[in-house]
This record gives sequence, structure tokens and C-alpha cells, in this order.
Amino acid sequence: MLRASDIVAGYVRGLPVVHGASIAVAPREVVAVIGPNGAGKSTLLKAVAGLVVRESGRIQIDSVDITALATHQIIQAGVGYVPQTANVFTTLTIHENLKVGAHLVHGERAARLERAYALFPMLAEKRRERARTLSGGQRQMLAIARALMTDPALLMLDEPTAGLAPKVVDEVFSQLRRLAESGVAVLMVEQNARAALHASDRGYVFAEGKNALQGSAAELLGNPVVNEIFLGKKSQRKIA
Amino acid sequence: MIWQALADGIFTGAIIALGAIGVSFTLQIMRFANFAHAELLTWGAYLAFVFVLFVGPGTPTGPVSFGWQLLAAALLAAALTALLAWAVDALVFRRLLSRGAHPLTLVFAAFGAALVLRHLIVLFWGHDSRFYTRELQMAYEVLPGVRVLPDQVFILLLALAVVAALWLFLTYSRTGMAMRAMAENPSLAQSCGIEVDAVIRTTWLLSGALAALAGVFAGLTPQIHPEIGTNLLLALFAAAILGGTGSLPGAVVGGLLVGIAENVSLIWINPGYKQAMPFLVLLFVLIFFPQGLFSEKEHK
Repeated sequence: MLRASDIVAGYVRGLPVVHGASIAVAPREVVAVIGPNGAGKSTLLKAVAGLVVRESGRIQIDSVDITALATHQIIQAGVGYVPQTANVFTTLTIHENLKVGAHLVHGERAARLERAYALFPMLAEKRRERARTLSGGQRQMLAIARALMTDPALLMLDEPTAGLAPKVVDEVFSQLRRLAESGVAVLMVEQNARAALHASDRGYVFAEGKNALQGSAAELLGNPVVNEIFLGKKSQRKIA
Repeated sequence: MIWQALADGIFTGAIIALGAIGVSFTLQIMRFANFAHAELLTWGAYLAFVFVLFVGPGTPTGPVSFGWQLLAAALLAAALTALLAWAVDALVFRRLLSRGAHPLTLVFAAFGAALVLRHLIVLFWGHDSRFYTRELQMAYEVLPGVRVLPDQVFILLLALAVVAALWLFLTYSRTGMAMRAMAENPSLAQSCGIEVDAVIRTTWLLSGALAALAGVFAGLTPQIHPEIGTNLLLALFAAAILGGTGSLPGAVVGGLLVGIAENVSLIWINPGYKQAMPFLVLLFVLIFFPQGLFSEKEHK
């Protein structure tokens, strides 16, 4: 599914934020990328989506090389991306948000819209309302539903639970698990490391722009270094 | 007297509104102030004039002073001016943007483009005023003391029809929705699979076509000259900012309000100061409604 190797990317050419990261996600898998602020986690997702300058490395979706493609071509190739902030069009209605999400879809827009409303009934009730009237959790649901409109093989989410109430966090994670079970590959970046790993199959720990550790979610949750640095216990030790 | 000024203001306002829509879209989607936009009005007016030179304005139809030929001229001018707007973007703005130009650089480039466009008009057609038609029109008294020309009413109705069509396009079409999405959040729009260059191209084409119609309508009441667009420049920007950039209803209401303010002010001030009115409206808006009347963006 997604295979990204030795990615060097950043906002300005010559000043990379991601320094040689490699990551892979298989279908039906939920993968979490955790790590401190500024480790390059979000930039990695943006690099895959073609939203930042990619200086070197190779990114493939189902063996199709998307490294040099523009964002709209990457979305067409099967990638869905949910940014962390400003991830819905607040001036458009919920229905219009979903339609914009289906910009590349021809012929089966109506069926995709019905599927989105079946998956998120709350959105169906509010379909004529502007997205700015939605709460944080509802916006996240709309953002996910919007990204699913193109039927992506890989869904990438940047901090999908940031700022949400604990109950809503659980809801988002279980929705992502259900999506993975339906065949989608899910890649998320999370600050909420413990909850994210609990909801994931595998994880990557990022530090200083690349993956420092990787393994199954259970392994990472049991790893003393990860535990000390990300899951609450204080330590002076450094990973990597 | 005030009712007459109001009626005149609405007619002028409809023309300003058509021009302001393009300014508003450029401000919101391309994120810079395109001071060359007013010259597109002038080019539209002159391109229609060239067509009229060949086929004539047509025989007066009913109470209006022209025939279908002038409408065909307006449509042809709209198509050609759309291409001109696209060409200016390809030759000037896109090249600067691809080199990472600052928005202020684009504004100065727009001033440069405006000068070139205006002086090309003078070079080809000279400084003299031109007329599409020299038919004399009778004004009709529609209300006590309020006289209107049939051409003005026709222009107002046509402008309303164009705005209605544009609203349908923006609300229901795939491209229209993509334009609204780009106007709010370009990065998210890209993540939805929207091709930025395609939306920008459509925006230039639409802005150019609308500017040409505004130019032809301005030229019908009553003449065209090389400053026909430049004289409306401030009014266009005042209308776009008053309405809230990126908002179609905003640009229309903004245009009407600026047109009315200009004409009603003539009751009390010397006509020589008429062009100062958009400035005053702009100041008033920036002080009291910095986001514009119809801005839908979330305030953070």
C-alpha cells in the first residue's frame, strides 16, 4: 500500500524538516506516528500528500510512484488526507463539503454521499447547515467523511483527536478501526500517544525528522524508552 | 430629486457590481489586489466597439437604442477579454508567483500591466470618445420626477440575469464549488483533489468576461473612452471590499451601494468630487466593517 522511503521534505527548499524518514502502511492496518513536537510527523503526511517541498526519497501507493505528482494527482491515486486544523470548509454546508470532497468522483457521487451519511448519521441530520456550526468532534467526523468521498486506499489523519473530549476521542478511534476493517489503510499522526497506540496495529516513533523506533503497538506500549519519554514517566534518556 | 439619484445610482451600481465581482474573486482566490482589472473593462468596451464598427449596432429594437448586433458584440468582447485576462495572468502574474513573489510585488506588477493595457488602447484607438450608437433615446417617467432610459433598464435586467447565472454556477456546478472551496482554504481544496491551476484559470476567464460586460454597459451610457475603466477602479475596489471579498452577493450589494452613494452625493456636492465618494465609502467600511458586510470567514 503506502511505501515511503528516505523522505527528505520541508516547507522551504534546502531547509528540510523531515530528514530521511521511511514508513510503510498495509491495507486494513492502522498505523500511528508518535513523537515530540517538531519531530516532523505532520510534515511527513504533508510530504506524502504533496503539500510541501519533497527534496528526495521515494513515495509509492500500490507500487505507483507518486513522489513527483501534484496534490490533486496524489488524491486521484488513492490518498485521502485530513489536516489537523481548518479541515472543513466553514462557509460551505455539510452537503457541499462532501460534494467538494467528491470533486474527482464522476458517475457515483450520489451513492458516495449516501454512504457518507450512512456512516455518519449525524452529518445527514445537519446536511443543510454550514460547517461552521459544527462542534470540534462533528467537524472531525465531517473531515473524515469528506476525505473518504474519493474512496481512498490510504487515509492519512493529522492529530485527529486534538482538542476533543475523551468520549469523542474514543468515537473517532473506533471509527478509524472500522474503516481499517473495511479495507482502508489508516495512517495517523498523534500527540495522544497512548490512546493512539491502543487504537493502532503498529507505530512509528519519530524524533528529529525521522523514525527512531518502530514496532507493533503492543511492543511500543511495552517499550520502556517509549514509556519514559512519551507515556508519562520523566527521563533524561534519549531515544535514537 | 433623491429618487432620481437613487435610480441613477442603481444603474451605475449594476455596472460597478459586474466589475467588482472579478476584483472580489481575484482578491480572495489569488490573494492580491489586481489594479489591472479596470483596464479589462476598457478592453471589453473597445473590443465590442470593433465588432460594432464592422456590423453596426443594429437597428433599435423596441425602446432600446440598439439591436442584437450589440449584444453579440458584448458576448464576443466577453470571450476575448476572458482570454486577455488569462493571457495577462500567464505572462505576468503566474510567472511572478512561480518565483515566489510577495503579494505586494504582484500589486505593483498589476499597476504595470494596467499602464500597458491602457496605453495599448490609446495606441490603437486614440484618445477620442467613441459611440456604439448615436440613436437618441427618450427618457420615460416611471415615477413622478424619476426618468429612466430604456437602455439603462435593459442593462440592469441583463446584469441581474448574469449575476443569477453566476450564482447558479457557483452554487451547483462542480467548478463553481471548487472555486468557493479555493476561496476559503486553498490547501484543503488541494487535498480534495482540486487542481489549483484549473480553478485559477476559470477565475481569470470569468473575471475577464464579467469585466467586459461591465465595460460594454458603461460604454452604452453613453460613450467609450480610454479611461472608462480607470475611472471606475476605486468604485470596483470599494464595492468588493464593502461586500466582503469572495462573496458574490457581497460584490453585488457593494456595487449597488457604491453606485447609489456616488449619485446621491451629487445632490449636495459638486459633481467634480463624485469620484471621491468611493474613497469615503472605502474609509467608512474599513473603519466600521473591516471584514465587509457579507464576509463568511470565521473570525479567530
